[in-house]
Amino acid sequence: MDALVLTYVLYLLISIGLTVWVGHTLSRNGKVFLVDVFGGNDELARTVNHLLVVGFYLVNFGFVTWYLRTADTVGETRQVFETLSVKVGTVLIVLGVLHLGNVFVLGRMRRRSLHQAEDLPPVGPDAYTRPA
Amino acid sequence: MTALTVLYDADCPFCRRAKGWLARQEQLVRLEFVPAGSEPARRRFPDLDHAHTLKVITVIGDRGEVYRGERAWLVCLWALRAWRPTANRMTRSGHRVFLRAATELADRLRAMTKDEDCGETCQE
Repeated sequence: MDALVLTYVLYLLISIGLTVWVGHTLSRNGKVFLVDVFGGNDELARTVNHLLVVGFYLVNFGFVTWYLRTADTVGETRQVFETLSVKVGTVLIVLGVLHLGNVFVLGRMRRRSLHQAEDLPPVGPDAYTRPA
Repeated sequence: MTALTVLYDADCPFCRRAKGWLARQEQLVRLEFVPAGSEPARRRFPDLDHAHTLKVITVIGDRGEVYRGERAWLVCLWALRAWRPTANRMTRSGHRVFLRAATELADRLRAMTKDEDCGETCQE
């Protein structure tokens, strides 16, 4: 195995490992948000969560695969590290952006559902009267 | 809270415009509009001071809660889907000043537009 192929193998191992870990975090913790947003409906939360996670994996695995190839000359060990650093670094940033985007969207869904669930206005009345 | 009765000044062009706008928005709580001081208003709320409702905008909840002026406007916004987060934000102490300014502006506009002598031609 030459240095370039080694770089590719390391890149794939690290990137796929990180993607699976972030995806698992999203799946486990996102479900709690969704159960709350859907008013305790566990089945619906599980379904939406699964759909979101599938989308996440598709986008991320797609990007990792697409971003694999490099035009760098990779012969020495030093070049292995340098090329890896750029590749893995970019994957991490993309993962981070998508992950934070997901968290933001989930938070907004929850905030909206909380607002709509309010039964009483945020201020008390000035007085009371008897409706006919 | 399932419905709110808004007692609006039917003789004021600005008030009628505002009522039209509110009626068109998507509502989380049903808004029912009744002209202030009218027969239907007196029949619905026999114990209410109806002369006062012609001076200050009044909104009544379905359990008899009476909201006047600033609070009336706030509760109307709270009833609208798009404005509920804003209404909630406005109740915090730092933001009350905006609500007061908006209520003042509404009163000013009402006074201004009412000076025109409408009569029959002002019906919408």
